[in-house]
Amino acid sequence: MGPGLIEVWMLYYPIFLKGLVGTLKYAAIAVFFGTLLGCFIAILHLSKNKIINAIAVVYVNVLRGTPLLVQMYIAYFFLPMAFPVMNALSKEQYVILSLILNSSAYVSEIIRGGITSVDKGQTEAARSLGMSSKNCMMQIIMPQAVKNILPSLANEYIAMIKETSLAGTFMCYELMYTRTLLANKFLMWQPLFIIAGIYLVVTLVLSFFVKLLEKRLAASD
Amino acid sequence: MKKLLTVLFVVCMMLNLVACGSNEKENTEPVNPDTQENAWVWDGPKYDEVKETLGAATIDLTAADGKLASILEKGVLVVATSPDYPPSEYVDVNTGDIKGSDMLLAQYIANSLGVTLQIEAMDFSAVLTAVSTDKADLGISGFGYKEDRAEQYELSHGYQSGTAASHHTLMIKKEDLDKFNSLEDFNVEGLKIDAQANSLQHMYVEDQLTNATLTLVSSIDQEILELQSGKVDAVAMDATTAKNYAEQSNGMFVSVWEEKGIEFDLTMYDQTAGNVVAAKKGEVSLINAVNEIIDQMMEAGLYSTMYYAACDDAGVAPGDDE
Amino acid sequence: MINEKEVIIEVVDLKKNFGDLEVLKGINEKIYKGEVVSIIGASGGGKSTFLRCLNMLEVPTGGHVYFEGNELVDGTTDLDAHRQKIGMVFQHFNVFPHLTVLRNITITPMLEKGMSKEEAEKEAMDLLKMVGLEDKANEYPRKLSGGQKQRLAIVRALAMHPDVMLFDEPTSALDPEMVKGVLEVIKDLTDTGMTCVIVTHEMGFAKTVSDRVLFIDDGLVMEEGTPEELFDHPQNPRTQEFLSKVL
Repeated sequence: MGPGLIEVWMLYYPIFLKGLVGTLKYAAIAVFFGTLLGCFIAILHLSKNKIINAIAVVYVNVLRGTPLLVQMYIAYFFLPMAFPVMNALSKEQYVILSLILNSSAYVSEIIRGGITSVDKGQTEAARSLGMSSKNCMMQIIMPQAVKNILPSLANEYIAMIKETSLAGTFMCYELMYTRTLLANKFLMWQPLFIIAGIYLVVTLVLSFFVKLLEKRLAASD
Repeated sequence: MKKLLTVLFVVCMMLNLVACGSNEKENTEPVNPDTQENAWVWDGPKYDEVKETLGAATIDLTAADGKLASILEKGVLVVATSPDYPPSEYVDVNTGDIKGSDMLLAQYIANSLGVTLQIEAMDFSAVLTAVSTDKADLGISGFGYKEDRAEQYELSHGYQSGTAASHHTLMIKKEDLDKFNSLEDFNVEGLKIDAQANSLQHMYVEDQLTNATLTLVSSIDQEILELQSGKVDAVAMDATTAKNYAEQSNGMFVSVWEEKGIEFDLTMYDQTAGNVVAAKKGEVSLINAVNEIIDQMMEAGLYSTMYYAACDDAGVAPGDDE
Repeated sequence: MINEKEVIIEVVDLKKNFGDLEVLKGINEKIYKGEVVSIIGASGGGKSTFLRCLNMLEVPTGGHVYFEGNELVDGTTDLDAHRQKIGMVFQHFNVFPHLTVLRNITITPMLEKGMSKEEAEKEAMDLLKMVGLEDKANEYPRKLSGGQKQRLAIVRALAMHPDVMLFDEPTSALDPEMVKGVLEVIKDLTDTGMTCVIVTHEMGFAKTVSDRVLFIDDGLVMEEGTPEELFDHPQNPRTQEFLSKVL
């Protein structure tokens, strides 16, 4: 069955670590830009205009209701057919684009949930004082919503760390891709267990910090 | 209860392996030393040297149209491949570069067209999709000639190393070797066989082992894992790949071609020998240019050098019978 | 007691439906400058909805609301500018929990009126002194009792220098021992000549503080008059029935 886990780790740990860096990087980019885009989608979703609202609803449902891998294939192969300018994007950029779009749908729901969880009376009080809707959103609602949003957003990052394994299908350098790399060295089972171990350690550590963050935010109420 | 015991057994076995592994000498190659004894040695030019000195075929490009014209205009040739198939295409573990004899061929084609080569790596089943959706100009991924493939894509003339024999066979666990004495022994109800989706072996199993149960996987290492874990009884692959994996398995797996001369029957196919390059249907000008380049390459005996240098670089033995 | 007959809010045939439910069925009413008007009536009769239509927190289904001569319903006027002149105090206080007591008061004048920080804070401290909360200026609202939160909400509204104050059952969510302090603040406010519209269940308070009392039931103003007229000599049988239950 070939060399053991420790031996494979000792020989190839730079490759696994490079994969881990890739994974964390993809997840961070996806969640960061996904959050920016997600805020925008959430605003559309909360709009009273029925058409704008419907666009957001369709966007969120399509991206949450179809598998990320399918989205990646469609983005990579068929988006440039519809929009020829997109041919300028590299394969990695398509993968990142898919991750961002996918993440934005989940983040927009997190943000929407955070905003709607703020008591309606807060908006009424602010508006009755004559505060503009923009100031009301930015100064009154968002600071309160953030407390609900932050932990969920951190959990989304943890979920995204696992989702990025699909980037390996497109040979983007992340943790799962190291399996393809080492399969060329006829290492079959060892990389899988090492990769699983790394995912587990990273997600457990991050979950611990999210718990800590939740406690801190709860204490400040 | 039985399941629990199996799990415990597997865990013990793995811990055992971990322990063994850590005790072993500080070997810089992960390959088992046993296989190094009868290691094949290549004393020709190394991979990088071959790549640098490839040169180019002389072809007439004045009548170029369609995709070929746009390649020449852009100055870039995009080739899609699935780098999980050493020595034809694989990723250099240290540099992350995509290498292999097919990639040297791709470089040679690019040189001959006077353009830059850009390699796009992806899943095997995605390679041909990339060609048909214009994501890539050519698909070069150890493709064999298949009827239905030829209907959907422009396929080039075949290319192969001078001595590489085109055999397609099955790999099994060594302990099962007694059960199989002919190809017909695999054509049994309930026997489970893996093949890589859309590969030649996929077609062979479908056509010739109709009684067996075929499972499709997306990469060769999945086949190995399934064979190892007993999910399947045999995996279909070409003889070179089977030989390499068998050698790397410490005697766990054997190739029935090496052991008993069992192979798929290829006489029933109207096939082009060796591997082919795929282009989008209708890109006649492009495939004609590729054919011209391949013909000149084969005539000059250049491909064998590419193939052996790639074997040497990937650390696998070439699949010839000499 | 009403110095001149200057109308500050005029409501014409005001209607409001929630789905199939008709909550306001056509109310005509004028609120005069400096007047203190109490609105009484059974729960669900439409009195809170009426009050919330006065500053467009509820958009009327039909009719008109004029504030200082400007039509608010048709969407042509700048609602935010008018709302700055209509203070509102809610049953559940709705203070901003993420801002300090001082910031609760200064945020809107600074953001919407461009008031400087010093000026806004000086004024806020004066207002806090007025309601006995000056030592809480830098606390967060979670440290305040219900009565203190409501007093904060009142001065937060006053910081915008409103022309009229709307109170929506300001003591209903308070523990009984807190009610008195809040009512005193409102009473003091009415003594300064501030126009006030108060939806309340405190009949004794309504009687002492009001110039005029409206009895709203079933989406209409059933009866109105001075406190003496309404409380001591109600004409409408519905008013008589309501008062017999609550007094």
